[in-house]
Amino acid sequence: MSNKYTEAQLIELRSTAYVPTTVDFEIFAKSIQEQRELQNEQERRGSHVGIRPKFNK
Amino acid sequence: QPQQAQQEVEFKHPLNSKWTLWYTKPASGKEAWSDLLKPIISFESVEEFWGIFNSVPQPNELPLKGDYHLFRDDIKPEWEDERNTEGGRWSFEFKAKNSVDINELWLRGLMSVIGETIQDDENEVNGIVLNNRKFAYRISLWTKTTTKGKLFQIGERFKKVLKLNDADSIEFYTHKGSDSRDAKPILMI
Ligand SMILES: [Zn+2]
Ligand SMILES: [Zn+2]
Repeated sequence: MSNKYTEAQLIELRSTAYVPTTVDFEIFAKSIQEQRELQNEQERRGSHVGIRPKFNK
Repeated sequence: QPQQAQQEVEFKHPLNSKWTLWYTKPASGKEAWSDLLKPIISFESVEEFWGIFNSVPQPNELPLKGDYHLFRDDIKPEWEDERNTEGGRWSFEFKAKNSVDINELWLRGLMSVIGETIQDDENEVNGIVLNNRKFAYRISLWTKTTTKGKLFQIGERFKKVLKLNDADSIEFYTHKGSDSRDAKPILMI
């Protein structure tokens, strides 16, 4: 296999991080935060009956 | 704001494959499954991996029923993808959600997969999945086949990546045998 990296090698390269500009990560993070807030809200109102965890997938 | 330059970025550390990070958002009741699972971004280098990893929410920030999936090339994180159909997955559930460092374990899982140290074989591992459920975090490693010799080796490494003890056992389920709710693992180590 041509390109193998151990965990140590990868961690050493962490400072070379390059953030692609093709995705707006702030929007993504914000949408995830909103999904959590919605669930917290539902939990508070006790209306979480519909989101019982399903372990199949 | 200057126009985005069409700069060619030279990445010095290419990965063995292209990888795609997918996210499943929790159902709110209206969407079809296909609307919930979406690719976020693909990458092919160590540099991009770190940039993306540093920019996306950590596992402990996900909503319940929110999943991350990291899959090779254009393989979809679904049993139905023909490159997954003949395979299965090693899985472990971390039930002590508040005491496990799931962010670190997920990062270790990602690194073992993109760095290809989880396997000796070329392309036996198709991807890795994180599920956030009410009673557990689960991390699963998806394989292309169910060839037992390969599975044991990969499974042993997976246990080390997840920092599991001898007393903890991971389970292997074939995708084909996973249709029923009382699906049984074909291997445990
Ligand atoms: Zn180097
Ligand atoms: Zn999923």
